[in-house]
Amino acid sequence: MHIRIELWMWLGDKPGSGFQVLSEMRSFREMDVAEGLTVIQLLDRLAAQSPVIEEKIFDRKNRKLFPNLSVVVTHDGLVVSPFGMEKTQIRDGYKITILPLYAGG
Amino acid sequence: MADPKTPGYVGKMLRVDLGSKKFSEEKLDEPTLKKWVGGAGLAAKYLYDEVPPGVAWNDPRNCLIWTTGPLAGSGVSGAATFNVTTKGPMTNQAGCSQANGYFGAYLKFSGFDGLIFQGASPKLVYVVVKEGKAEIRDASHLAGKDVWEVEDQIRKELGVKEREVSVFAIGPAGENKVYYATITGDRGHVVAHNGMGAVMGAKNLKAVVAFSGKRNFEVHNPELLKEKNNALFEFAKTFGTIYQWGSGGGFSTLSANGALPVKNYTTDLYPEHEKMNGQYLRTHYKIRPVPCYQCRIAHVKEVEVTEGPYKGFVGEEPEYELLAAWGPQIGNTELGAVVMLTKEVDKLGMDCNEASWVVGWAMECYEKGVFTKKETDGLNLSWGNAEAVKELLNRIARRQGYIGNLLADGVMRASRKVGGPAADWAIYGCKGSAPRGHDHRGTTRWYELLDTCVTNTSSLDATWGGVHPKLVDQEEATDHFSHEQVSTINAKFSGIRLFDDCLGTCRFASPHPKLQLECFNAVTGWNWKLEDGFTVGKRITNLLRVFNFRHGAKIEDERPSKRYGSIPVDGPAKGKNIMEKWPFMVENYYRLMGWDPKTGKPLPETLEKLGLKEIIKDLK
Repeated sequence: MHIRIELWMWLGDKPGSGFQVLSEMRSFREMDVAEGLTVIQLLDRLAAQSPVIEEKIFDRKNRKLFPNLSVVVTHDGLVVSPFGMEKTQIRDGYKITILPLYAGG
Repeated sequence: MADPKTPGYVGKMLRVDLGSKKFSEEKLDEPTLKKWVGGAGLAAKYLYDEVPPGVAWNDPRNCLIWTTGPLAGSGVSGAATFNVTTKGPMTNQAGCSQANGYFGAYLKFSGFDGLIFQGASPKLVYVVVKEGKAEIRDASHLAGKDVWEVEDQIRKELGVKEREVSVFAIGPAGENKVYYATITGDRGHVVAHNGMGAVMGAKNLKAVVAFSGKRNFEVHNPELLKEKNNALFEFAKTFGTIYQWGSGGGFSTLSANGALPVKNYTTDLYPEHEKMNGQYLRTHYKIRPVPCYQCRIAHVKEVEVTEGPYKGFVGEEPEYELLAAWGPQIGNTELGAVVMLTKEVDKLGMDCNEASWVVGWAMECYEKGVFTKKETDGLNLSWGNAEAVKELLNRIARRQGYIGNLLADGVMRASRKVGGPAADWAIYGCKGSAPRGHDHRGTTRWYELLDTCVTNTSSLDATWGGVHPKLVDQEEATDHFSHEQVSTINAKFSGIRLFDDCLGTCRFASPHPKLQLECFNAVTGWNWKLEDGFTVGKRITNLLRVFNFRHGAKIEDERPSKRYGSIPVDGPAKGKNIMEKWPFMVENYYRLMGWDPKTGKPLPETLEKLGLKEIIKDLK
């Protein structure tokens, strides 16, 4: 399956591991993954490959996204819902975006 | 008799009769404080008891109640919030709205837990509270001045420096009874919702001033409070983007969710979000912190624009709501213009949410030819024309010309008056409530859409920035577009945020209900559980719901306007339809709240369980 991951976190190319700069805010990577992969499993894999992702995005020990972040998964520009980090299986063409948590106004 | 040793409280309210210019003190006993706590709760009780059906929002018999809570001034980070409750013009029902800054702490230091303004002054006045006393002063020389000018002038008259007093005032919008006029103070903190500034204008009350002082109330366990305050601060630093990037730090996240309001909900595409968010602003503009009272989060900033046509302009850093209001909602992509319009709307004393809904609607009307330059009194209301918006805001605040006066009553009334297709383009809750600055049709926003339409506070009852069930050990949604999950979660989460509004704390500095409760227990010594907080919040919701029914509320108004509840035509939430099961959502919510699913009225057993047995008869 071919997927796209975007990090809206002003990291530039610091994540390495194939991440490229898209803009001041956005980095992206496209990759092929096996069927049945969940979002949590994907994040764990990315964190294993990138110390920056492990430091700033995904706590591998507790298998959790850092609390100031959120995930939006879209397919053909539309948000995927229902969604659960542990339950939702990634499909071909998905875009997984990691970005700041919105809280308050 | 009051128990002067109730920790967290001064133990007194002050009544100010603006007509007779008389003051009277009222002591607060512990049973009342344990039932209503403070802030929104205590004020709701006074409103219910003292403003009967038939009293209009601009009637001198309407009460304007300012209250703070037990944590204000206690040293909890940023805890100087105060609440204002009244019957307000937008919904013609109860409204509760809060502002931060310094006033909540200074009011207590000045000797009172709250102020009740009754009657109306024949001339424009302002009230000063200091060292247990109050004074009514002539304000005729402040007529027409914006809130910044008022703050400067009052400080000069009183011979005080900036932080010696907290000043909250109305601008020209309040004096002219614009329906969404605010009470604004301490350089940009806003009591925003339901036109409380208009009520103040109807009373000819221009400003209220509280002096600083020393803490004059007890804290039950200061050492424990210090420990819990630190834990709350450490959590607040990591919750969302507030600490590092301000509330605008979530701006792009909302774009990704299809939840930015773009050109009056006509689209959800706004690719310019990257150069309009909090992160861009803080890394490209000059920033100076201007924190609230004892706030370690210190997210409030003054900003100087460093690029573009507004280079050199100095103003408040726009919160998320203002970035949304004066960015995508009016089709503007110039960040400096957002800073300029933020200062303008705050100076004039108007709610940025409602102001942006009326302006966006007017722009759509102009685009589609419903308004020409004849109706706009010569203004070119093309999308993105920030200078025209600045002029329009000034005309609205002064009810000048056809367009200024039309829009001053809010977008629900304006659109109904104009009629035709334009009536379908306006964004509002049909009770008259103004949605906050998002596209509530987007991902994670349906909770807030439901809350805005069913509100009993004319603002939000249950939600804030979405819902965060995990913070109170509840299950999160798996599907943010499930009518059942959204309405169920709103009902289960309902109560805890209204409890927050009783405490005198800032939601940004105190975002975690359980950690905040621990601070509350350290201050009061009451050893409450989370369930007790929920109970107080639900008690307030139900009291105000009965108040609203008595004052003419109809459940057929508990729905969104056509545009507010429409189906997004593009973006991440394209095609999502909240209205296809709206009646189910509302009935489910009513049932779970303990209300009659058909009439929406609180059931007698619900009121009894919440300690409101005495008002059951009022619903018959």
